[in-house]
Amino acid sequence: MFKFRFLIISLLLIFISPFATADLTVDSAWIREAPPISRVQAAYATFKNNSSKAIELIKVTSPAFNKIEFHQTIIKNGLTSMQEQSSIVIPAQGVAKLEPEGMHMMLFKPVVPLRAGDNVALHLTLSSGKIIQSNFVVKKATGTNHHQHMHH
Amino acid sequence: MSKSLFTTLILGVIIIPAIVGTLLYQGGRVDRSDLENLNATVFRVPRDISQFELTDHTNKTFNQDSLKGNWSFIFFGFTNCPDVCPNTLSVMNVMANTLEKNQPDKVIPRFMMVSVDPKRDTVEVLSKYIPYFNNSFIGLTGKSSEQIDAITKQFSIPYFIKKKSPTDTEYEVQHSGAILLVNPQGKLHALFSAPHTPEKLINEFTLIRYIHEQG
Repeated sequence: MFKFRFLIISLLLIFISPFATADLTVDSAWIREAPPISRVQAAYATFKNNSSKAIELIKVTSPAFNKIEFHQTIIKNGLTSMQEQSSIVIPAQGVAKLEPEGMHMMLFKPVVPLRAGDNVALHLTLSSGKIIQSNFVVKKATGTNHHQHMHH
Repeated sequence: MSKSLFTTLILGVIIIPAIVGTLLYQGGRVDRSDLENLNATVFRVPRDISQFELTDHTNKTFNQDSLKGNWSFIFFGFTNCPDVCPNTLSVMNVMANTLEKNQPDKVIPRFMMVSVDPKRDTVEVLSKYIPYFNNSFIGLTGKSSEQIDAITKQFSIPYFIKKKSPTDTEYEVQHSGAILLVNPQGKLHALFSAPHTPEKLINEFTLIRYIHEQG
């Protein structure tokens, strides 16, 4: 049974892999588990553009959330604020990193509360009209995966 | 000047302090001047904290006297904050766990978040939110913005409620990312600016506490 399942997964991976080497790859995709009562949470990922043209991510939707926006956390003059962005641009052959205390997707009002280990599909709409489905894992942040750059 | 007085002066003013200084230095002795190299702002004279009255997440009154008796780390945030607040509380949780493990002979400082959004962050909301990060953490809120301002103003903590319309319930609150440190005498001792990492906070706090305890 186990071997059979392994075979199925392997076959699936073989079929999926051509898409993974497409123009846009999504890595380290995760959603911060929301504390009880909190109706907002953030999603993070690394978008890699393998093509020679810039890719613009213009919209994200998910059946699991009422609304999703792109937000940039800004720490300026000791004040922390969030600025809504109309899109995320991934430069040609470049990377856009969404990470804690930086750029993130703000997820409003989950349809059901999500717990660590849950998998959530986000639908990413590109300016070309193409829609990519990407799988995000819900994680309880430990505080140690915080990015280390202190010079901004 | 007699020769013996000259020798005494040389010995007393230059040589002995130099030797003592070197010995102390080699012994790992630190002093106030080391505080200048920290990221934290350490106040030369810790600041008095005047009256304020908040309610904690277990519905108990919390005022300036409640801060006495232990070191306290205080962060200002709100529960509808998706990124910075949960990140900072997670950092404080790592800090609490690491201090408990690495410094078992020391009392673990207290960690608290003061809500700058008392309208949405009621005691009930905080009672569900705060223990998620750490059961020993303290959540504080007020019955009005005035009660919150009584503490934010004296700590120079700015915050702005950004409602898009009068009925906006998903509003953002722009707020300071700083963590404040209050000493066991209940005085404002230092300020850590964002972004925070547990390692940096632990190292700097350990030094700040050591120097404070040396007097």
